[in-house]
Amino acid sequence: MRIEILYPEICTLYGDKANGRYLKECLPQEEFIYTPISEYPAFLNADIDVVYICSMSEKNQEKVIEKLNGRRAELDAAFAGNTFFLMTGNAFEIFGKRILREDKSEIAGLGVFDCYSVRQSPKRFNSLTMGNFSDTEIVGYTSRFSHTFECSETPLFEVTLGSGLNPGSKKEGIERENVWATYTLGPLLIANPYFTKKLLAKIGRPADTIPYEEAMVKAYDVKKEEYKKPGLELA
Amino acid sequence: MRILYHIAVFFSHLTYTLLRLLGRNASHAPGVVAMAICPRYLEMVPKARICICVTGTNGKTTAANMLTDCLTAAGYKTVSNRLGSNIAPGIAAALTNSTNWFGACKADATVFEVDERASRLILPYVKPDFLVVTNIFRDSLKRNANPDYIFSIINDYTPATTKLILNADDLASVALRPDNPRSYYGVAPLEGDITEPINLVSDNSTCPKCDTKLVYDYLRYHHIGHVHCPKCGFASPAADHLFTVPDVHGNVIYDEHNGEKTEYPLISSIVFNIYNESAVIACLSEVGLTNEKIQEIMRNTAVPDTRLKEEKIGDISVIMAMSKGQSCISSCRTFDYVSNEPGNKVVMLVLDDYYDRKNSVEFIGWIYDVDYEFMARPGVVQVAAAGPRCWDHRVRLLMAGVEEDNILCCLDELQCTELVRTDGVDKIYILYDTSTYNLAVKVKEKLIARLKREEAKCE
Repeated sequence: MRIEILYPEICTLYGDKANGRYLKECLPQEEFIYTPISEYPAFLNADIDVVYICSMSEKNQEKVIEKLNGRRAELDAAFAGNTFFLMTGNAFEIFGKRILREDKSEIAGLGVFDCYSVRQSPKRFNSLTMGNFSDTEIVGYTSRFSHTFECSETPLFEVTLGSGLNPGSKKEGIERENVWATYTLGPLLIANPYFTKKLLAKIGRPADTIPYEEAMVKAYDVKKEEYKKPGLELA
Repeated sequence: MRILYHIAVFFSHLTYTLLRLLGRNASHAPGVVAMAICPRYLEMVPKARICICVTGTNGKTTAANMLTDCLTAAGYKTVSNRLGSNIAPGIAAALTNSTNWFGACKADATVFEVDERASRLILPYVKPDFLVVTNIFRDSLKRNANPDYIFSIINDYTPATTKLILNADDLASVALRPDNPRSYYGVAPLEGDITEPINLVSDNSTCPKCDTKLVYDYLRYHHIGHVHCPKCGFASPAADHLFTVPDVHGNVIYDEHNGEKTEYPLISSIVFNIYNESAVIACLSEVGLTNEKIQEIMRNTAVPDTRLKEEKIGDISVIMAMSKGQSCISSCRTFDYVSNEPGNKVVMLVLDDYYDRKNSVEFIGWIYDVDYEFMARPGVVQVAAAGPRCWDHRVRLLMAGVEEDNILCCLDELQCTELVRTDGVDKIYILYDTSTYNLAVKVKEKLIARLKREEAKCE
């Protein structure tokens, strides 16, 4: 199995990077490829099983779009193929139809997902999020300048706490057969051990136990209870 | 509007006087009053002959306080916001202090520490003559989002007339407002420099012109150092004030400026304080003080020591050390320093946000940007994670390679003091966040009480 971590030097914010590191601990025998922004992604012209891309600054969103824009045909082929994509934080926004800046100008997105995003800085949207994913609960957090609208894609999960793609939506993230994308940021896989096990099963590497599982489950259980305390402030 | 200004000055002074009579700092409310009466207050207050603002992620408090002390020592009647807030009302309150009751300026110089995010509400109106930017790093994601965002704020809102004093070794800030007048300060190669990043977080690692991976000519920590691009020739700017420290444990620092080399006392051996001192000397020089005058005042200047507070009970030192929560760079610096200190150490983490714990749940992603790996160094015999997020710290410590047996978890910080290891221990560090300072003081008192009890038993 070949796993590509896209642009690790710029897609590295908010602790997301730990997900790639943890994935490597879960899959020590697999090949990991770290593609810098100066190079074309391997998944565009080679067999890559999993691609992970995580949170980046708004400036770097535009840079990544610029880099990938000339490769639309390969992108479409990859998303239509067997490569599995995991996206955290604001990474999935670049694959939408467009991103609207604060001054109403528009950045054309990569057009993979049927949705668009709107930035609203300096207003920062911070919130705890929680939702049901299959038979487990995801405990998460989002912190962003943007929201996503008119998304016709299937959500990754529905929130039971906090907001989804925008403050008026309970639908969080995007799920396709080969895509799990979420606004949830930070060490998602470490904070959610049961979700991680489902991810490993999804990519064809099911595991009975995962590294640090006992410690991760303890932290997860404690946090899950805290997320349910009455009068909880989300931001 | 002029009348509103004078009313604002009057009531701002009145608020200040009343609050001072009540024993308060009066460093914020007089500004709130002034801005409520006169929304253009920051703009309308006549400015001192020398107006300096200091911003940046780390070091701005130290640099601003040193500049205030130095200008005062140089004979300038200097007003600053050192006792107050670094957002707009705090600046407004300090500006009130720079005027008389009639609204005329009575100060020779003003030095304002400015919160980098709040700079958009301050810089366009205060219009500083000089803006010192110490550095731009990642900080709280909730407030500061990311370094690109902070760069854009400072870049967009700094007036075109302001002279920038920039750290040549900080690639995140050197490109601020390229058309503004500027002076760069930098620190020449030092003992202990490296050429490959060792920290988990090392932003600005690619060439801003061609995206190629940059090569470090020398690197201090995170991205602070001197770089060049092997492909297009881009490089860190040459320093107008190039500081040389022949021996970091010595007592001299040289500033090479305009072909002249001047000796100053080195007031701290810690690298980030060498940068702070360099920023201060460069700024004073750009303000127009002579080298001789700067030499004279630097001899009597010290770095404000707010980071470490130590007390010894028997053979064990109990040391409080600031390690700002949710700010990975501050914590990395402290983790690195503490874990490298000689002797057997216990490190208590009292970092969990005091406010988030009350009604919310703190987002813990920032700990994955902090080099917990430093805690796996020999000599760190126990890490005590104390507070509501202790189980998250435990996972992070395990991932960092810290032995399970060397990790203690306690939901209650005070209870933790009864459980930390003391046998064979030379130092116990209590790492605290700005929001947990008072709690950390209680932890320290309780720990000291225990150590005294144990000492009495031994006797």
